[in-house]
Amino acid sequence: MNPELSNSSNSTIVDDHKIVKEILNGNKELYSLLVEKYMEKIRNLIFNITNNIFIVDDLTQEVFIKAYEALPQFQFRSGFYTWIYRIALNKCKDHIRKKRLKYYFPVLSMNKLSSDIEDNNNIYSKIDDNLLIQEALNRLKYDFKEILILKEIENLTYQEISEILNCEIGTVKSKLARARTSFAKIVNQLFKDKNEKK
Amino acid sequence: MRKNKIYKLVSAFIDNELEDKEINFVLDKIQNDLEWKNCYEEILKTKQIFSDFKKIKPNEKLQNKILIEINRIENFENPFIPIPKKYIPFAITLVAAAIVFFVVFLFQKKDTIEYFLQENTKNVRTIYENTIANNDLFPLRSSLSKDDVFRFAVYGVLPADTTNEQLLKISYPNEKKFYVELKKDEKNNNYKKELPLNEFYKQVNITTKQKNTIDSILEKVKINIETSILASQKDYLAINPELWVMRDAIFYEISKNLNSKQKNEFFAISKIPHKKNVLYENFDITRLRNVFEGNKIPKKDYIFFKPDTIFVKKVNIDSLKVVIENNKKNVHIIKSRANRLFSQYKNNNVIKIVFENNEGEKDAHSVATVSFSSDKNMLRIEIPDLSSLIKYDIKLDSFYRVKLKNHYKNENEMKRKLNDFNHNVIEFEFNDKSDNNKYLDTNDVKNIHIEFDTEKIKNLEKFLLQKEKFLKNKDVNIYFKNIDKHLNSLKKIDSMFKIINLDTIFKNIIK
Repeated sequence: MNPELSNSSNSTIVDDHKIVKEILNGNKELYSLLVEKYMEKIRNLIFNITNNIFIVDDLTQEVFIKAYEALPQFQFRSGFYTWIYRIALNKCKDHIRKKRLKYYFPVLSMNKLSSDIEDNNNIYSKIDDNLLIQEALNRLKYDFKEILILKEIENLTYQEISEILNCEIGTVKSKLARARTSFAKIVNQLFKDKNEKK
Repeated sequence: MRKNKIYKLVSAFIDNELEDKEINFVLDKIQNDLEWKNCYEEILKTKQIFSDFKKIKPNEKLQNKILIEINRIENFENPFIPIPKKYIPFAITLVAAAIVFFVVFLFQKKDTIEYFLQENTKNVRTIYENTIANNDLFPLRSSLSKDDVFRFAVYGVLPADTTNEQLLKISYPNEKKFYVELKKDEKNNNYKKELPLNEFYKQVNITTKQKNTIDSILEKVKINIETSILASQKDYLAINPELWVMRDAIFYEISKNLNSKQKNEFFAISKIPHKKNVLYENFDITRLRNVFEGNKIPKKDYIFFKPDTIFVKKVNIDSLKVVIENNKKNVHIIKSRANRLFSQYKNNNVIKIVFENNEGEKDAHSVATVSFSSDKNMLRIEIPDLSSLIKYDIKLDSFYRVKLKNHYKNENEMKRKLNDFNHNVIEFEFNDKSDNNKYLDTNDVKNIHIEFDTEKIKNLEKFLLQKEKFLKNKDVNIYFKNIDKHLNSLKKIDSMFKIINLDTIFKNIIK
């Protein structure tokens, strides 16, 4: 469970549902509460999926606009956050498909980019570890990358992941296990390469 | 139990997603079965890796931006005052009549309309984008010499008009900013200070072979530079955002043909701030080469600068080349056009520009922020986000980083590892790979072309030994020099390795 949601997941969902209902009843300025609550989570999710800092804010904006426009179709069967996560993942998928993965930085560029980011903004404190994880994630099959990010970085439950990915919990279970195996292999290889270089 | 099943159960156990009876079963297995225990430890380790994962820096301004945008959309969607139903047919007739009137007016008074719009609408950018004609664009400077291209690669400067009263300068490769400057350069003084090509050749004691190669590189890339900076009779200045990469590419291609001593001198005169070899680390050789190959793309995004706005539009490169060819003698095309820009830009103005992707899909674009500043002698246009745009904009179909599995991180390293083939030319040809494969291993090498001097026949033996080890079943085309002197040695090698068919060798020689 997402730690920030864990204390009262149900009440969070209920609160979000109340806000959505209010917005649909014309109290539109309340949408800012949802933006405030989920914007950084969506930004991080988009960054982790696309691995491109330059498009994070644009895609985040598109996600919230899309969600706002689609709000009348919101069914109240799932949480608002699982719903908006799904929109975000679809946006990322669209973006990557349209760009034919051109945005995926090769390792050297990523290194350079990250060192630039570090110098300028001190975004990462443990840049090497983050880069290694990013690199390992990038080498994963897209489906595995997606599910691993939702579980390990976003800390969502199987139920939430199944809602976001629109699949059965059993599928989440087996896909996640395979994703972890695959990820572990890649990380081991990366560590091995790193140590060989040293 | 199958390994997959074990992973699935242990994975769900760690995530606390199992039923009570399953928990006891898995717990028991982990305590008593080594395979289950190993699996448990491996997944825990994976989770541990993610525990230190850092988040990106929050963007405090974004929330406001999103809300403003939503507000804007809301207002735009409901712009009309509700019309009572009985007036709807009348309103439709009125709108239709207005459209017909407007279309007729447009055809009859096209110039007037254009003038009216240009003078009155706030959305000047759209108008410019739609009214620029490809045949109105000319290279700011055509007929560059080899010397000009050399100075561009080394110092990032180009003469921007035919009388050399203006200088165009781009940022250094290692600077974090991307900018282009138009500077006044009276009597060509600043340009003259830079070391010309011939002096450089003398300074580094260039050999005839090196000179010929470098000359041919400079000659070959001239047209790319010429088509990268454009101007029009209507005060547009347009720049191909690949200009910076082109400079890196030429710089790299020149340095590749120098020995290490010459290379050091070359770096020293270039004034490019760099630590040892850092410059090369940031270069992606395949990508740099693709910049020139990229010319096969008929249309490219150019950044257009106009005194009141900046925007991006695709330009037809092929037709530009024709213009250059046709105007080789007429080099006075745009003289002094850029002059006017100096006084017209407002200081420190910032504009966002949008790059469409190559397929022209409207919703797939990148946004760059451009700022510009000027005084009476200099105009600087800064594009801080250009690094991302360049990656995006260049055709990257064959952009593969060469990382040969466990052995080499790039082509050069591969050459070095195979042997110190300093005097042999080795080229690798790779199989086509899908976009998401970023690394190559030896399996991806389709063909290897090698030029051998048979006087260094020992190298061939070494190479073939290495080939057996790392490049099994690969086609190797070997081209020989001075074959007659060493025919016997070759036969000996052939009998040793049975890898290359001597007939093939002879075929290649005959070719």
